Amino acid sequence: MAGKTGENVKDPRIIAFVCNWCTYSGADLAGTSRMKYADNIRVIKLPCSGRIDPLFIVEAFKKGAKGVLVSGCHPGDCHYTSGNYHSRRKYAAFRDLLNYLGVDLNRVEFSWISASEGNKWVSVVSEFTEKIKSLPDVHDIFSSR
Amino acid sequence: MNKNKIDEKLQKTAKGLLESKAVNVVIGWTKGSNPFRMRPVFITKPEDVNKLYFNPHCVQDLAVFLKKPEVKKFGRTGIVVKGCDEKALNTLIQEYQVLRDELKIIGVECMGVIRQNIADKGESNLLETTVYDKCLICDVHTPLIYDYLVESDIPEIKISGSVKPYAKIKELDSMLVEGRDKFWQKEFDKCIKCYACRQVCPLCYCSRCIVEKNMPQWIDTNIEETGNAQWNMIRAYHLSGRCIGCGECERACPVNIPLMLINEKMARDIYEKFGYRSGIDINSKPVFGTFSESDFNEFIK
Amino acid sequence: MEEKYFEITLENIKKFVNSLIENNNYEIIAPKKTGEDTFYEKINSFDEANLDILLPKLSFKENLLPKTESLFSYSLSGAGIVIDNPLENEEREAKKKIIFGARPCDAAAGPIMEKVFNWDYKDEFFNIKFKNLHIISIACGKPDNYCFCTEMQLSPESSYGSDILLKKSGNGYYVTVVTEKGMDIINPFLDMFKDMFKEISKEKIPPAGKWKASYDIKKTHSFLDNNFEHQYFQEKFLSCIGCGICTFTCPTCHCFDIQDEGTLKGGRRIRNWDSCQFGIFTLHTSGHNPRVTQGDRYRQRLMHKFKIYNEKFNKYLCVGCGRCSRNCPEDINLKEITKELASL
Repeated sequence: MAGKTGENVKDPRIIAFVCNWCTYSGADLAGTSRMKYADNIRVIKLPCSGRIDPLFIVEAFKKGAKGVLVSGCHPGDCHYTSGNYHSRRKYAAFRDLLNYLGVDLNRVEFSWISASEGNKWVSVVSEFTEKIKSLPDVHDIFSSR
Repeated sequence: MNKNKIDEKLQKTAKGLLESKAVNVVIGWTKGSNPFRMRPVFITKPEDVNKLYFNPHCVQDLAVFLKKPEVKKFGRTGIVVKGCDEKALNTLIQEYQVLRDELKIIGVECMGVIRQNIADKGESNLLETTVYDKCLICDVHTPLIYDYLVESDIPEIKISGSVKPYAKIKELDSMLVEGRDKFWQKEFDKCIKCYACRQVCPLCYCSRCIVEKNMPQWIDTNIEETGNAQWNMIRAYHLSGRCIGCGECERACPVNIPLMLINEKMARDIYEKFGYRSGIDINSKPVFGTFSESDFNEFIK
Repeated sequence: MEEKYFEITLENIKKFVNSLIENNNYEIIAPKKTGEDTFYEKINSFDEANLDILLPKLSFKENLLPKTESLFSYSLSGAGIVIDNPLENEEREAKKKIIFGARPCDAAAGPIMEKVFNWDYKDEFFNIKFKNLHIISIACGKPDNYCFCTEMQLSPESSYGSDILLKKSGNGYYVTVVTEKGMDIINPFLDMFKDMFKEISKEKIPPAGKWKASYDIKKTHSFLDNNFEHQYFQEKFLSCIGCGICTFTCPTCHCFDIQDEGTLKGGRRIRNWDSCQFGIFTLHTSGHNPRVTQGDRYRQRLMHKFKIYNEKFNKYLCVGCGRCSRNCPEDINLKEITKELASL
């Protein structure tokens, strides 16, 4: 995470874990097409959404991220055939657990974005950023009170 | 009811196994510190089998010992299991942790075990109010898989419905997220990170747990709000879809964190979403070892 | 100081504790029922204390050695680093605590532990807390079969480690004030309420019961001296699953692990409770572990408690409270083990 200090509620940090093949290329397309979106997001590229361990989400929250976005290839499009299917199962369960333990599910977002969907990337990121900005600054199990 | 008949058959079976060298050790229960406590015992000689007993105070899930390197050294193992413990064996077999052929499973019919904290006060009657919640929803009084079965003539517990097992789950589900946060915050605050929940779990077999990895340090080491919450969350997540509901973690917890409320909730969610129940079928794939194209997709944009 | 003796009625002890709480000079901690079990917790009135039980589930060790204790913390501000030393604040801010209704075994743990914290290095974090901790214990009437304080050279009525020892009388308590710290608690009440504490002579307090040790702990010690490689350890502790319950619920176990925690903006160095029962406790960076089996690890626990500590500090590192045995999920019973070792 960038060493910027003085974050506040109006300027929340959002971390995106994206897969190399689809979502990252989609975000790249958005960039090269000079589309505009909120700059709260920091993108971390991984080989596949199947590689995005729930611990990464925990780590992002621990380090002070207000929201986490996880994104990969559409079902059927995985570069490694089935990585995204596996991660979908994991996250379905992980979301339930977070919710049950009292974490606001508005803070985590999942999406499928292909390499050609630069505009979807922009809309997902913009909507998510707006949502995160509207959330009250509440505590949960990741933050010491 | 004739308890001795159970013990007799148990001892005879173990003796036969040891004498024929079909197994090198039999793991079972023997008498403990007082009449209301039983403890694990490792029998290696046929003449020692008269130490084996079974009664409603046999709370421990003996499958936990199969992960111990010291126990693995014995090689072929005979193990005495209740229905719930046997489900742990199934999951271990499914996950290639033990080989079915190396195990001789001595199943005992069990109608329930008495809560240890109540038993410590001298209770030894099997009642709706004295057994663990898991026993009230038990559907494996007879273990699913066994090589030898020790039948029991103990009658089933009469269930009037006055005790609602895991009722708190429904209550928590109906709360707002802040309410749940507050509830778990208070519970996790008690945690002393003795890791008994992990050690006593037959399915927590990693030789190096995630909390012991510090490059990077995934889980905060502190025994305060953040470290406790992260530990309890990741423990629960690593058991989602795997926990077979033996309730050992909750029994062992010295500060009474209701861990089964999390495990049971996750088991229900997994069943609802993927139709999977752990510890039932040794030939099925673990729920997170496979997928379906039609899996739950609603939460993904 | 010379011990002083008083008598107090049940009604007055209630008044005494409640005024201690009201005066707010001390934080009062007592056995308190929480859920199904009783723990040492802060009380807000005498009635919250649960004095009928034998022992709370955990000891009050946390008040001497917190589960997690910050040794120092730092934060970045601009180009500089600000270091915060908690000791500087602790001396000033530490609130005096009274453990009311402790048992003599728990009370004995403090001075036993104190020895190791002031052996080569003076551990000020511990010392400040120890200085500020006052213990009013109540003699124990009926030890259960896990208890072995008598074998551990204490007794259910011993005053070792207590500042004030209470002993049940007909309709109240006999009070033995053992230390100056104990006198400091009582002094204001002696002036204010004339009849609250009635001074008596020592003879008026019934003599301590004849508690008999069922075995000689010195024999356990001498067994441990000569039998490091004995097969007993490997066989007996096959059933040990290596959780830390025995060490974490023990009033005298004091091992800790120092860790760093931090982000780019700041952090802290902390010490957390640790346990010799964890495999990773002695794991070397090379991958070698000198204590391979759980038998090796439990043997270490026995050695430390009943041999090493005694040779170094002339005290056994055990008060015989029996918590390790009561809380053990696999029913490993320390009294039984020390007794067996004494007869081997």
